[in-house]
Amino acid sequence: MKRIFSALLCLLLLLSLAACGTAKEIADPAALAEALYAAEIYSTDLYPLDSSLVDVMFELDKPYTAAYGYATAGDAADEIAVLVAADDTDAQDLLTNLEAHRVAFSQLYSTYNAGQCPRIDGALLMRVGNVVVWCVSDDTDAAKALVESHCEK
Amino acid sequence: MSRSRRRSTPSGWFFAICSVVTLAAVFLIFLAVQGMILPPEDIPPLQTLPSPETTIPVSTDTPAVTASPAETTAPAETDPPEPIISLPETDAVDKAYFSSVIFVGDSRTQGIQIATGGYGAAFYADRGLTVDGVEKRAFIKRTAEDGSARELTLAEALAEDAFDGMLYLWFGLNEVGWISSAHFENTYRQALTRLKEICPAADICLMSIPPVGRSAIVIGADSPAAANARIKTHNEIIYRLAEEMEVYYLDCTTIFTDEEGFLPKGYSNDGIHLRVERNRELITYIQTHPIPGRQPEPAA
Repeated sequence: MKRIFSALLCLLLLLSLAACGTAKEIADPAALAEALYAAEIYSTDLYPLDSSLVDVMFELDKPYTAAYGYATAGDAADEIAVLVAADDTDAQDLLTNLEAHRVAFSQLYSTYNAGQCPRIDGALLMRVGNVVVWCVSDDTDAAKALVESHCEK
Repeated sequence: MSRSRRRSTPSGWFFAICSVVTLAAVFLIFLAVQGMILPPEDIPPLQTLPSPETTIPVSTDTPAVTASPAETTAPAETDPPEPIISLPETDAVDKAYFSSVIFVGDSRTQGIQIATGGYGAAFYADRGLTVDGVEKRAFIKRTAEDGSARELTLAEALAEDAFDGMLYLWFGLNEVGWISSAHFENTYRQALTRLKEICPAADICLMSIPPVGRSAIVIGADSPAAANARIKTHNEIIYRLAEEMEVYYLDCTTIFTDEEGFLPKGYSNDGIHLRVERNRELITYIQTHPIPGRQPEPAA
């Protein structure tokens, strides 16, 4: 009986840990973006970005169907980007795009505010289905947990 | 006979002396009338701006510039009003003023956009942008007719738009790390010359640079104080260029400087980028120092 119970617990644990690994999508990217924005994990105030500013701020040159961006007034590296791609290929391109942005962003800050570099280097960058999430904050783990809480199988 | 000669000598000398004195007095009066002794009353004090007929480029290799709207084409009998260089304070203009404005600059300029939205102004700003990027840095994204993505420089974008609004340029901080202030001046002059060629109907305003805070790290400067010394030099250059190139100058320094010459505490988190409320203060300041003749028409 104990062995069966233990096995069932292990199975349950495995299934819960695999929740986002087998997730197909984030049902509401806008809600995820708002949740990230509302989280108290940033060093300064963030502000929603006008659509005209998203490409410039995140150095994007790949297509997307929707974008939700937030950034500071320049006084810290905190920023959020939730990008929705049309398909698998575009999503992968956006992921690569944002990885390049991470490198360039860190390089830029190294020239005048190097204290921000570890935050950028360790920032959240992940893809869930066709949604790519980028988040520079004081707590990458908390940001990741928020993303996972918005996952749907 | 000798007695009469002795009695005539003192009166002769007296007459001679009086004659010399009289002649000397007449001569001095003549010189005074000609202005050779008394200082002319129309020498202007050093602080005032030069009169219109002397506002010509100092550098011999600077191309000829068109006269600003405030100038006359030839000296008149009565002196025309001096052209406005430094924008004076007025009543705040309506926010519709910004619909004809393009702000150009680096991340500090982006900060205005992020913090305020710019009240409808356009922003051609990019992190790390320097004045030589006006013609060299293609960062303005547009879509071509075939749907493909394009990236233009500021010069290309303005030429494409045949821009005739107001161009606010905010350069000089990232250039602190340049090899010399002379290089900054020459490059800025070159950029202004190009911009005036591209959009002759536009009004250009050069914004001065606020100092950095005590915690700021600025490339090319050993300390915040050293950075501020260089920024002060750049601001002098910016004013000089505004005079030379007959464009406007907006003093954005005074309102963001404490008694020791630094950005005041609490105005920034990193000593460089203004906090949101300061960006809002800045755009309000721009509203109260508008370019003359550009106030929007009152709504019907």
